[in-house]
Amino acid sequence: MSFWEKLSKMDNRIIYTALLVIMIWALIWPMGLPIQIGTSAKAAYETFDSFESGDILYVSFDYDSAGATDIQSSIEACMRLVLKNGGRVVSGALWPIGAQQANYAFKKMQEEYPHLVEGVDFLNLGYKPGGQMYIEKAMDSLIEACANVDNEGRNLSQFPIMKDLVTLKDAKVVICGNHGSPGASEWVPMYATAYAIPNNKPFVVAASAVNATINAPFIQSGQITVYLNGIRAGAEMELLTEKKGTAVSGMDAQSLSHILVFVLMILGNVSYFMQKRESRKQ
Amino acid sequence: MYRRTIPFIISIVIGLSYILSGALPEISAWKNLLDKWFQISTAFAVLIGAISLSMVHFRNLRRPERLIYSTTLIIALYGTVVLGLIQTSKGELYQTWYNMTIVPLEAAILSQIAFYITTAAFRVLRMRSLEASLMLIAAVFVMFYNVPVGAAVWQGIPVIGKWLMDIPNTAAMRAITMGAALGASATAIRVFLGLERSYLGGGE
Repeated sequence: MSFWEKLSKMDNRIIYTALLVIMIWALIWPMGLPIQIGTSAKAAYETFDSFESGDILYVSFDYDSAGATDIQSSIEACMRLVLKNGGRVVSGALWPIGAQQANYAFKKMQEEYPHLVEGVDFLNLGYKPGGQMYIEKAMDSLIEACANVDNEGRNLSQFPIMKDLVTLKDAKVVICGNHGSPGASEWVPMYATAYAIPNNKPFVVAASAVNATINAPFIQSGQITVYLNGIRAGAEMELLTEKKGTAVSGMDAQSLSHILVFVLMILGNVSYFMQKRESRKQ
Repeated sequence: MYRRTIPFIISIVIGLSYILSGALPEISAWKNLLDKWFQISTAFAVLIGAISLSMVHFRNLRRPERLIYSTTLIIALYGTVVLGLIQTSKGELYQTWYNMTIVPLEAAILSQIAFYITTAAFRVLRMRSLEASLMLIAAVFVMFYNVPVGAAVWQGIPVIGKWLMDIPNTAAMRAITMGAALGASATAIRVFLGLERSYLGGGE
């Protein structure tokens, strides 16, 4: 068996180990590769930095903990910016586990801003079934769409924040954390196209990188006005809000793993052509 | 009759009236009612899912080879429900339970893709033909467009990567979306005409 043949039959475990080693290496000893701030992150920063005292941001946590790796840092950076400016945040979720991701984010925000009061400055409405139907209903009455209960089953009418958020139209900006369906594909027709875009309101989507291809037509048509793509956007938002977190530290690991994939692509092709040459000679 | 004809009539009446409600404001109250029913039935679907899952795994408890997996699932399912009812989703133990089970499990399952992609890049992405070569080159640009090292190597990488995402990818996605929408419309018409009845069960 020639060298090239041996190489092409390399055990998968060697590749897995190489990937694991370089990712751990990059996480423990980050190289600090410069992260260029893209236009989307800048637009998101401007959108959320324009929040004034009392303005409400509605966040839809339409993802689970698998998508959180890509999305949570972007969402948290946007929430941080809004709360810093005295704004308020209300969250919902079209995915059952999204409600828990919201709890996670609010807990973090409360640690950073201990003065925040639940029901006054923020509220987690929890998982709401129905997808498009929920959004359509919430455009007329949020309390009705939520069956008048929050994530803990409490009566929504008792919370002061809900008096200023009668419908989704009362939110200054809606941001959808998107890791599949239901998600951006439901928000685009029911909220962005029906209301936000005709009223010159932004519609922000923070999505996992795998959704970039699916959402691309909505971005080009202007139905999604600001698009935060994957952990990269999270890292950019963390830099803009001057609060480095998991997204920034994960970028070096992602860069190195991409380099490994590239090197393996070259090796795979070289071994393929060399084997072809050898077989032609024989 | 009760199993097929009545459900068929209900689906036709509801489907057609829902479509007509877009054009006839007189029946918007009916549409609002249907929206509520849809939300309630979606919530019930979660309950049915839990019941169905329980039935399968309680049956599995009698099979020694599946005992361990089904026991784990039942404990996880009902443990979460009981903890949620006692503590609410903000309880310390509930959060620890969630953070130590679902978070690492889901992250681990998703992260496996990285390992599969890496081995696939080595074994499958070969320049066997012109089309395969074009795909490989496009993959390299899009891959490095998403990470800082791409721009660090050459400023043109993010520009080309963005062009590939914005133009050829968007065009292809739009075609797929329109194709799927046409397919969904055709299925809806078949349901209304009674040609498509597989959703009623019975294998037709």
